[in-house]
Order: sequence, then C-alpha cells, then structure tokens
Amino acid sequence: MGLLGHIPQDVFNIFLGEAADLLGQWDEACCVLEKGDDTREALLWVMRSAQNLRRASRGVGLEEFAQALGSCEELIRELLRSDSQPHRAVLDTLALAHATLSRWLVGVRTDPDYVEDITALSDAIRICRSGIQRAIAEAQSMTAAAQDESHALPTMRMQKDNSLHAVNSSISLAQIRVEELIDAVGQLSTQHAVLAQCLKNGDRNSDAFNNAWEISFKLSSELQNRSVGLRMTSLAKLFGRVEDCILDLAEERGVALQFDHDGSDVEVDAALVDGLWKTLSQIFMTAFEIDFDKPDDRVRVGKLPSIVLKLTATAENGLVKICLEDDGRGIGENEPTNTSVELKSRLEDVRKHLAGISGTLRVIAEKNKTTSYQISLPESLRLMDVVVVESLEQIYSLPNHLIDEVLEPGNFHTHTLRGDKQFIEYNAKIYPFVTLSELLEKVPPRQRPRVQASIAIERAHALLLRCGRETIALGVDKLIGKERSVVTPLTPHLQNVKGLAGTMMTGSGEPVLVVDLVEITDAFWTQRGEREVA
Amino acid sequence: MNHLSGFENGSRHMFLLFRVNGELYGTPLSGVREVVPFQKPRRVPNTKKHYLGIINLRGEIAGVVDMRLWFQDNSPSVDKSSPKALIVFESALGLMAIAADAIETICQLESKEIEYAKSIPSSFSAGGMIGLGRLKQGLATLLDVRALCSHVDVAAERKERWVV
Repeated sequence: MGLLGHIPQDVFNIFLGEAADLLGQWDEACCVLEKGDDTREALLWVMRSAQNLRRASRGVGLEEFAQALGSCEELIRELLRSDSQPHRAVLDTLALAHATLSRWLVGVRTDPDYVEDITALSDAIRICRSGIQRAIAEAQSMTAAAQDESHALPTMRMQKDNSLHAVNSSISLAQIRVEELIDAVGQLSTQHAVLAQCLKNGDRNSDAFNNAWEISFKLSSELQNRSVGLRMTSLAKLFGRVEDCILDLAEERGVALQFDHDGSDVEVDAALVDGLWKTLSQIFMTAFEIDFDKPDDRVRVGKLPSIVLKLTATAENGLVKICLEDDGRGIGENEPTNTSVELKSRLEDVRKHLAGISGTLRVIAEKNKTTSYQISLPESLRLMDVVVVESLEQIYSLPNHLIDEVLEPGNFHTHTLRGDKQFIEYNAKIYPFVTLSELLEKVPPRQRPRVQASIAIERAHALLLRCGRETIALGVDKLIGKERSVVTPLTPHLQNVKGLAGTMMTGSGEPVLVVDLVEITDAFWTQRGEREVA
Repeated sequence: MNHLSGFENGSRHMFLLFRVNGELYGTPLSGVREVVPFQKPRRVPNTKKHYLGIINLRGEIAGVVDMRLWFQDNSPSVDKSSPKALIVFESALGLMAIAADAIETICQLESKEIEYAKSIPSSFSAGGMIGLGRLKQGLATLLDVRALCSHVDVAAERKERWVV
C-alpha cells in the first residue's frame, strides 16, 4: 500500500510545506557557515532543522528520509563535540545533504513512495565522520599525554560540574565490559520479544510468559549494575600516585617513613577519582605538617623512629571507605591548642572539597598514638542507595550513605531551647533537630500559610545525618522505604537550584528529587551561626 | 545568526495556536516537540512561582512552566480550571513544557499577516517575541516559546530562599 494509504493528503501537504520551510532555514544556515560567522550557532540551527524535519517525516511515514536526516544529525553532533571549525569537506557535505533532501522532497511531492539515491551523501557523511573522529582521538591522546607529564595537583571540580553533569568528558573502557553490556541488552530484547508474543497470543499465564518476565527483571537489574560499572575504575592508580607523592615528600623533608597500602583493587566511579586525589593530598600534607613527630620524640614515647603511614580502602553496601592512618602525635581537632585550631581549619577545607563528591570525613585521634582520617563516599554517584521519605506531602530521596541511623517516633526525647531551637536526645547524646521541609524551603511553617503546618517533633521520624560539621537529626513526616536507584543528573534548567543532587524515577514512573544533603546541612550550620552572631 | 530572520524572510509559516488565560498565543510548529495531556508536576523546592515542577515524559524529565505567572499577566483569571495540555519544547536548558488551557489549532500565516515585533513595544526578552498574527479568531501573540524557554530562570532569588 502506498504512503498516502495511511496519511491523509491534507496532512501530507502540511508536511511538505513545513519541510520546505525547514530546508530553507537549513540553506540559510549553510550560507552563514560559508561566511564563517557564528559557526556554532549556525551548526546548531542546521541540526535543529534536521531534527524537526526528521520528526515530521517520521510522522508521515517517510522512514528512509528520516534515517538520512539522522546521519546528518550525527555528523553535526560529532562536529560540535569536537569543538573544531567545520572544514571544507563538511560544508560541502551539508550542502550536498540539502540538495539531496530537496530533490527527494520534489520527488515525494509527485510520488509519495519515491526514494532518492543517497549513496553519494552516505559516503560523504562517512568520510567526514571518520575524519572528525580521528581528530577527536588525536586531541584526546595529546591531552592525556599532557596530563601524564604534569605533576601539578589536578583542579578540583565540584560534583555538579564533574560527575553527575559531565557532558563532554570521556572515559576509557575495557572492551569486554562493553561486550557484556551489549550481550545483556540482546538477551533483554529477546525476552521482550517473547513477552510481546505471549501477550499477542493471550498467554499471560503461560510458563513462557512467567519465565520471560522473571528473566527480564533479572536482566534489567544486571543491566543497571553493568552500565554503572562502565564508570568504575580501581583505586590502584590513585594509590600509586599517593605513594609516589608521599615518598618524594618524605625524602625532600628528611622524614623517615614507612608507607603501606591495602585495598587498591576497590573500585569507585571514575568521576570521583580527581576529587579523591585532591582530598588525600590535602590530608597527607596536613599529616606531614601537623601530625608527624620527630624521631627523638617518638623513641622517647616508645615508638619506632620512622613514621608508619597506612592507606586502606574497603567497599561495602555501595559505600567506599578510605582510611589514612599514621602513628604520629594524635592531635584531635577539638583541643584548646593552636595546633588543633590550625588542624580544624585545614580539615574544614578538606570537608568542603569532599562534600563536592558527596563524601564525608571523620577524624579519630588518640594522643601520642595515632590519627585516623576516615573518608566515606558512595561507590558511584549514578547508582545510589537512597532512603525515600515524605515531607509536607512531597516525596524526596536522600542518599543512604550519609544517614547514620533512622529513629522511629517515640524512640528519642525532645527538647526546645529558647523557644525555637529544637534538639533530640538519643543514646545519651544531644543532636540539633530540623525538618527536611524547613531545610529545603528555608521558610518556617508558620510563615507559609499555603502549606500545612510541619509535623510535630514527637511524631517525626528522625534521620541522624553524618555530614557537615556535626551530626544533626533530620525530621521527615514518613519513611517510605530504601531502594537502589539510578540517579539522573539535573536537567540544565535546575542546576542553579540549591539543595538538589539529581532526579530518579519511582516504580510508578513518578519523578523524585534527590536531595543534596551536604549542601542543605551546610546551609543549616551557616544560618544557625549567623543567627547566633545576630 | 538571528533565528527570527527565518520568519521575516520566508513566505508561509506554521504556528501552533493555544490559549492561556483566555489569550490566544501562537508558537512556531517547527519548535514544538509534542503536545501531551496535562499531568500534575512534582513541585521543586527553591524555585520561582512560575515553575510548576517536573514531570516524567517517557523516562525524560521535563520542567513545566506556567506562562501566565512567567509573563506576570496580572489580568483577572478567566479560566480557573487546571490547564488541559502541555506543549513540550527541546530548549537549550533541557526539555521544557508550557501549561496551556487549550490547544486551538495549527495554522499557516503569510508574512503579510504578521505584524513583526520590531514595531511592537514588548517586554519579552530579545528573540522571544515574533510579533502579532492577524487571524480569523482575532489577534494572536506569536512567541518563539522554545527560544524563551532557553532563557527561563527557575531558581528562586536568594532572599526568597533564606527567609528564616
């Protein structure tokens, strides 16, 4: 049956009109490209025209026409990614594409089943794409070589620029991981085909249906893990770099030191490695300058003359723990000495950097024996264990690795200080209490007549959050459950909104916001400090 | 390149006409990704009033904007019922949707039927206002909503957030 057997003539005419307009815009953008003015904007304009034309043509059943447009889009996308000026061959190819598509449209106008020969266009696109890919690969290898040669500390980039929102960055992968992923996708497609066939035959209760359903479920979970695994890298290179740096530093400063490391096979999200290096380098510099004692002093207190420094890593339940431990002076950050004050200020800085990769730092010191710097961070920022909660009738997800404990209502005592500050008492310890809605909305319930009053502290669930300076108790209305979810980066228009780390989908397909607990608790402490000063 | 130049040079243009608070608006059909029935967005804290929240559009997150609040239309509300449709655009800031009270039709306008923005005083950001279209139904405000969505600011101002 011909094309117009499916599509009404008037709809097809509308498509032809729209297609002519879009090709007109394409031509105009090509003229701008020829002049060499504002090339990026012009390329984007050609791409938008191609995208719109592809969608419209698919809508009227011109599938081959849409495919040709799809390859043009790929070419432009690669050119934009390469960030290079379009060379002559690319300009000629875009002009050729315009001419070919225009001829095709003329043909379709008289015969809706007309198909234009696009061999020349396909060849031109293929040649251009391979040229661009080669240029990108060369540029990447040059950048990698430059990075290897450089001994400077890498620049710390915050999480929102670096990991969840990386758009133009690239990672190298073992081919086997990609092959395994492709295999899993293939198996899933097969099971979907079985399911579709069973549904078509009305065999919803058959063994084949149940079997395919079960396998699909397992495969999608496996796919989730495998795809996140693509971003994972072992800590071996990082640990090697830390070791080299520490030994060089020890030699330069004449410090007798024995360095050991364990757990370098632990894997983390590749996007976290730069942030971890920055954090670890800050910590060992602090240890060198504040914590290491002199050989004579060490011998006097019964220690070996050389410092023993140990770096270890473990992974458990989606959380990576990295510990740098020395047997130095064991100075705590809360002692009333100048050294402690300096240590505290340095650690504030480390914590700030670590917060950028969703990590936390705990320091445990034993006078004249040991100092242990314990870093905790999620294995990946894309696949996270989250606690889903309800607060003021809104559902939010909170990263589980920052939650120490969940307290049921009635399992803790409450106190109010000076009529507004609230605290809870649990296991003989006092924690400041604040509700999630107050932290997120920054408006006390009494000033928000549109929303219902916040829950009473006695009826709240309290989550003990280990982030920022001290542990705080975060009140939520309801605990919905824990789950492992794929966290999607924030869309560009939400990236300036405070307190959000990403989005995820619930089983029912509803979008849920993942809260940036580090950012909101930091704001809480800043705000409380300002109020106390006032 | 000024993307509106395409409108001023070409002869015929397709527009999607829709109503918001009784007013008739048109946006270039070429910029519209799709029109879907209205679904209640999930509210996002620390955002401006005109940003209604996010929805799941077949696995993609789209932001939903209330055009009336966005353009600070202070005229009395004509239609108090909830919006009926979402017009979805692929903007430079990701997938965005405009809540519309009703979708009217798709129409073709000739250049001579459009009073271009140059001659109309308007507070719309540059590139967003196309002009006024003379239609059988009356005048329609022609906006390049996709271009406008590419500049929409949704994060609440600092003083709006830190009220305590």
